[in-house]
Amino acid sequence: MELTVGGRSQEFQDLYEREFETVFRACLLVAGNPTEAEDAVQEAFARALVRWNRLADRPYIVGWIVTTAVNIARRALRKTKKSEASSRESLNPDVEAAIDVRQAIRSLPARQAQAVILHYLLDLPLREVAYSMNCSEGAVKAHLSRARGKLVVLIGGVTEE
Amino acid sequence: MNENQLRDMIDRATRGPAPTSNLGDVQSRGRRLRIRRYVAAVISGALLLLLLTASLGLLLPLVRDSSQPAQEQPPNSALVMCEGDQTRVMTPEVRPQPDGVHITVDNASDQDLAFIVSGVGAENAPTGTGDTVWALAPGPVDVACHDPDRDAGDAEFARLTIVDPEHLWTPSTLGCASPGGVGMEGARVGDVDVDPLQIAREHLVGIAPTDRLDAAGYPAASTRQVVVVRDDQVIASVSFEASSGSWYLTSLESCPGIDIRWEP
Repeated sequence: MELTVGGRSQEFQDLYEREFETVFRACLLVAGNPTEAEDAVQEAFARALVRWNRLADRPYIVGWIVTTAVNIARRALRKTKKSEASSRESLNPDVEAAIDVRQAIRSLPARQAQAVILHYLLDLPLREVAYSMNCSEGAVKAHLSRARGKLVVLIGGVTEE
Repeated sequence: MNENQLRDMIDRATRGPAPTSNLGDVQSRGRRLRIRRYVAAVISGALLLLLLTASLGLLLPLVRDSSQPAQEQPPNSALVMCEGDQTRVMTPEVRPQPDGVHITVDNASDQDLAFIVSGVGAENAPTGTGDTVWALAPGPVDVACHDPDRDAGDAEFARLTIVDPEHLWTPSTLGCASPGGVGMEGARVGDVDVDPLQIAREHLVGIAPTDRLDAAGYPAASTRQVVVVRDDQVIASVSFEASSGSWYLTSLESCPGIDIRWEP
């Protein structure tokens, strides 16, 4: 793998194989369709590869990759303005529910969507989410609180534990 | 519905077959990124050279005249102006303070931005003025104000140079070609009023009797490093970050073949 330096290419390869599906699932929440999600995943890993010498020792590297991939997916969605369900008449309830959740998360502001994906989908602790988003834990809590408030309205019935 | 049910809903919304991973495609994209950056750097360099030549003239001497009066010391706080996505470094050189390099970020745009230090990290830069402190080694760094919703790779960087005449910075770079390292998951290792040097002495194993542990980085920084020196070479480095009154372990790096570990 000629783009990495100093024999660390195996680390990147292991990370990619291990986390590809996780990052894809995260992008699926904000991308217009699975193809765009896959494209965002590949682009994010490519950017990580180019920066690998600096990123390799960074804590919570998966959070960085997910945040980058989600941003790429959101930008692509804004450009194409596609909707994954132009017609929902024949969709089964489970698929409709999935689309509702994805559309709800897409409608969140970028930072709230990032926090939701990192904390609720990837199950990262608040500290790790904060590091990945370059903000404080308090800011993460605020993003999550506001996101939950919006999601209550959009998909219904979410309450604090 | 509680938070666990929200997790389940989000989890179900992403279930289904995933595409096959394609490492070759990642490598191809990486190569294209490298080429684009190289071309951009070449063009930027050429434009900068053209600008310098036009403003200074071709007849300026290349070596400074020694009879000129001594330069004033750089300020101990840098000022960076954010005007949309444009970054202006008003103080090209800055001296560090004992806790690090102080950078005042003045965001005069109408949106919250991120302030990025290339290769180091980023901080929020809300509208208005804010002070940030960074553990940056002496030398040049590239900084940028940037829209956080866009990819950081699109940021347009400006150069800031850290000058350290008082030698506040202690180098922490490992003296080997291919250091290995692990992220330490932010484990809490002690109260912030305990010297990280002492914490490192108590928890590092694999230290030889003749090894020396030194505090590295800036002496009063919130992010501290302790290095292990063997035969006058830095062979390992441990990083700590202060938060909420505690030290948290963030990384441990060592040279190949060096078996130095952290024991809780």
